[in-house]
Amino acid sequence: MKYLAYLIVTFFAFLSVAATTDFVPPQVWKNTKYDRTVQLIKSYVKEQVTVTIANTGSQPNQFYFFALPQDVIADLSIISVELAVGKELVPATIHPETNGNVGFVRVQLPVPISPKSSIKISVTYIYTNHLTPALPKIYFEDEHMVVFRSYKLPLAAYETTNYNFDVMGVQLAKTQEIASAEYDAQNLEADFRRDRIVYTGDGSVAPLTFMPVTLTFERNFPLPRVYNLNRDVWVSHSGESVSFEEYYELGNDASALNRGFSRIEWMQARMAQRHSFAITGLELATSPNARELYYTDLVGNVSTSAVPEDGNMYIKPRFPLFGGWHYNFTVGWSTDLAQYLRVAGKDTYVMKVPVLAGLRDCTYDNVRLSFYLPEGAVLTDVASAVPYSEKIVDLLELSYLDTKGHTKVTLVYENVVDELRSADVLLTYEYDFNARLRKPFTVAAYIFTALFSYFVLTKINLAIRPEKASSKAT
Amino acid sequence: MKPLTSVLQTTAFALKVVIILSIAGAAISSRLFSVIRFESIIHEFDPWFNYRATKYLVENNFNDFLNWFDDRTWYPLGRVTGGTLYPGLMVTSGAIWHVLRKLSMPIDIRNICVLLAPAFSALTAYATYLFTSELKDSGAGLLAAALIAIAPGYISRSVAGSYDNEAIAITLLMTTFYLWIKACKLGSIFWSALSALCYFYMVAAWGGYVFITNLIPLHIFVLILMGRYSAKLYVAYTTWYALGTLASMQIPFVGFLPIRSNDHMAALGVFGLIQLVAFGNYVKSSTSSKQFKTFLTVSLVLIIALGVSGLFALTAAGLIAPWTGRFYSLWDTGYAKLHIPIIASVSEHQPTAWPAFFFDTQFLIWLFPAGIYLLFQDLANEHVFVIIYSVLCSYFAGVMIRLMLVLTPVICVCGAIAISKLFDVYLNLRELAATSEETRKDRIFQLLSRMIVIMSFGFYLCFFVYHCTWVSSTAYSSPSVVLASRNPDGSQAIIDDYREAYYWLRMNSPEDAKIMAWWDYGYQIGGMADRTTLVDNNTWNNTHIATVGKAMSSPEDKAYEILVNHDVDYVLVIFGGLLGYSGDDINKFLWMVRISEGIWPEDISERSFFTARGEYKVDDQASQTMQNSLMYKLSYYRYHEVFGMQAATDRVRNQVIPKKDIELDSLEEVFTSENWIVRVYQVKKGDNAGRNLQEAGSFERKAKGGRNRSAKKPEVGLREL
Repeated sequence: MKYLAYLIVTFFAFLSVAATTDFVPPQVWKNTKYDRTVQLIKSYVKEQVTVTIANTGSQPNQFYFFALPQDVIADLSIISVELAVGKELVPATIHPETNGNVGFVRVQLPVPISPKSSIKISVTYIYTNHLTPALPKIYFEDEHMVVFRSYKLPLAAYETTNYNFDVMGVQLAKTQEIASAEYDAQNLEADFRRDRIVYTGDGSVAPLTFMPVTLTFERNFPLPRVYNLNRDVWVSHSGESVSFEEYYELGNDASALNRGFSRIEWMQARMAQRHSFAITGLELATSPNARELYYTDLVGNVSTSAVPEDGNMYIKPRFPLFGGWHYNFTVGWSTDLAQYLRVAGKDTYVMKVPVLAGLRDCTYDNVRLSFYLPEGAVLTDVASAVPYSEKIVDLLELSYLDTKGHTKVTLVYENVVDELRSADVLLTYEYDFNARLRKPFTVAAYIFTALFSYFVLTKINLAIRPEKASSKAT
Repeated sequence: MKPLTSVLQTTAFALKVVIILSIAGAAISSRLFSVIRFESIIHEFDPWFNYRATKYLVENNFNDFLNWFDDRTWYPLGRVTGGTLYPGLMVTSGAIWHVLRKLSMPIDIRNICVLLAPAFSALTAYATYLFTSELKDSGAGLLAAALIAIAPGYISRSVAGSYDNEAIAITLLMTTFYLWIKACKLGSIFWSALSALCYFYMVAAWGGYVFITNLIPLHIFVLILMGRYSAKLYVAYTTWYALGTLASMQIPFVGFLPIRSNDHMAALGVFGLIQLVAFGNYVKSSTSSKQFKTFLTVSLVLIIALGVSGLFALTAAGLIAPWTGRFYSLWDTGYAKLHIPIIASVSEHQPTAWPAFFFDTQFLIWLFPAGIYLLFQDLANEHVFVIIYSVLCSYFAGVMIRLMLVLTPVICVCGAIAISKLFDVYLNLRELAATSEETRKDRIFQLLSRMIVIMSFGFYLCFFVYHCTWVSSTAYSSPSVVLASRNPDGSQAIIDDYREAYYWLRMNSPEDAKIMAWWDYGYQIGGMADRTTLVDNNTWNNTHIATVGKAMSSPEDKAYEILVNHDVDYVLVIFGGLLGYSGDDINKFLWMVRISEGIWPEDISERSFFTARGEYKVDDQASQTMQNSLMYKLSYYRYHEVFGMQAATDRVRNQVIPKKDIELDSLEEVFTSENWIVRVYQVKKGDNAGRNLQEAGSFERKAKGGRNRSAKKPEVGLREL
């Protein structure tokens, strides 16, 4: 599956130009059915909007503007638009113009839709930073409440009728909304279920209507965030293996402790066996057939990891992580090269590696994915299923017994989530026979030179004394 | 015949190479227990500083390193680290690191540091081989190399991870001695200069170089007294002294000590003496014996009088530094305890217990005198050297346990000489074959007696290997940062509380936080938690250490003043009561009291920390001063709650802790490690309402209605250890 997403950087560049005028898309569509599903199961927000759009204009139309609040666009990790029938992916770009706090995604439909016809599209997007603890400081035994701020009525560029709004993964939720006569008329029916709220309505909603709602719900799980992840992939053809090393700078966005951490209370409450907003253990995905796993941090090996099943690693940080606490660590493993590498031609190889392995349910601010190709390999192409913000190709400083240095390719990703574990990076490089022989021959040559020069040196006699006298003296 | 001899020679040479290589292999591998059992980790306390300094050296350049002012220790004083350390160790590993990088082997500096000691122990074995070969023959040399390679007395300070000055110092010691003996034998400036060079390296590496500084002059002095003065000795000693002294003064930490400190005066004196003796010899050769006698008497009296009065005058004038405290404690073991508790508080400065000699050297301890006896048999100059070395070191090793290390090489050398001599005699079968016919009857008995002696010594040697392996595995291979224990099912459980807490500090305290802990943990906090400390294992400022001791032994309000005055953010205590870990702060507490009493006798009194019957107790009989002291409060804060309704036992001291709540007003518990070994408290920064912290604390307790926390909470199931 191919994701489509957009560089927020370029968006901001446009934003500064277009900030003054409010943009209103041409009113040529009408949303006849608008279903919005919000999943609050993980530590970030995933939404899916399925909307049936009808062309109300007099001419065929190919462009549809999908409205989103500006703050959501700013924290957007990935967005993809597809046709509900046939699941065909549709190109979508973030439109540079905005209207107040509302921004737009311009969807280019595969074919122009003729007047009076309609089509159903489905927009899926993930954004981060929108779940915040209700109280900045609590104690570890307290219930952890999380706040989600969103909007209740469909936010659209066009008139909308017949809509529903489904929030999943909220337990013991409380809602808070700004009462307003304008919105009360909308006749929105709320249905509170066990871990779900469903709003349905069938009135007509004017374009760009924004009706804020604040959801507060219990979430006794941490909100993990990795500030920096350095994921290094070392490729070795002679060893037929690939080694991964991942350095994490982990934090927790959940509530902080309101007083010092008390071990006795932690023991008395048996917190080690309970779900709480503290990170006490981490499950990390590695690779199939992973071997030589290790888990260290800046002060050495951490002896509390286990590898119960293939490809997964359970590690325990040295201490529980509450909100505002930090923990840096490194994990690494090796596995067979064959499962990532394919021979594409003579001396040409294609490597396919997922952008992320690692943590489940986690937000990453920065990911630096680096490939260390074998010494002498020539990079020909890099392709990533999700766009990266920067690509750096350079020669690495020398590793073990290197003479020239490995080619290093680094891809930098910003604001990504763990769902990218299914997205791959494809790397094409050439690595010929001469490059393979380079290392053994150089090492052999050096050793030979060393031995030979030793032999020559022993043949030189620097003694001042004549031959016989010196042999007697020693 | 000629080809056969050359073949034999080649075989002997090849055998020697193989034997030395396998000895090196044994030396390295027997030191790797801790790496295999735990991980590649720096051990104990001092190595953490050396490691941190090495990292600094590698990250900066050599000049920066020598000029390093460390503001992250001894807050607020700082430490002129570059000028107060022996740079040899760090420079060695830094050089190895650079060379390996040049050879495109980018080995992590930590691994170099961890494995430096085993690598150098292999070199020590080789140096001992050369040294002993000079004394007897290469057979004895190989034996000595094999013995030193695995002797526990040396392993104790050179296992992988024990990255300390001694790790390379013993290698340098043996090399210097070898070169010195060679120089004496040959009277060669070349060997003597090499010896001086090696001595310089030793000075750069370890404070124990003073031992060489005194031993070599003593050797010359004794030889002169024995009437063995020769031009060879003159050449060897003057070259060594001149070059060695000038070179040693290049080390910033040593500086002008070689001409000012009393420790170095013997070398200077012998240097003067040898000039006089040389002059006397010259006079003797050109005058009659009667004239010479008068000349000798007059000059001797004059010289002694001048020398002694000069020494007194210079010392009184302050030009020569008086003896250091550590030196005094070498002569009087009770000295340190009375005058400098900080020296006495270090366990490695304690006198050696007798079993330790056997533990560290096993059967060599009784072969040692035999070896000395054999050396007396043919008393060559180099044998005199070994005899002096062994006599001096036997004494020092008895006084201070850490000097066992210097004694071990000579024990191995003497032991090897004894065994080798024994084998020379008992394995000489030629003699057996050449006996005449009348003794043929006795031949069987001769063979039998030889067999018995050889086999019993073979057994001793095998048993020695077994003993060494056992000792290094059980006693000397614990990193002490990580503790090993056993689960109920017998599997190994690792107790990693130190690193847990240090890492917590590193991750979750402000980067400029100041941490107060007893000085033992200073280097570890600097190395692992990367935070500023008040005092550390470089105990250069007794008053500052006493300040920390005073804060720990004062009541909370007085301690708080000290904490605030020193900008302390966190206080860290080590508490072993839950686990039964005996090296904790309560057991070290009396030293804190003593050291601070030395500075503030009017505030702190050791007596008041004992019960009326003079016992050191922590249970309900503990004295009021004890119970009010900050250390007691921080150690036992909320400890009894672990046991619920049962009696709260301190498993180190086997005493029952009273079940009353300890109130802390000015500090707040912020972290306690999993097994309670490390407890970290944050110093509160004043009250919002402007009250003092005691008032605020008592107000809050009243507001709570004095309810008892412990009574209603369920009991906690503890992991049995």
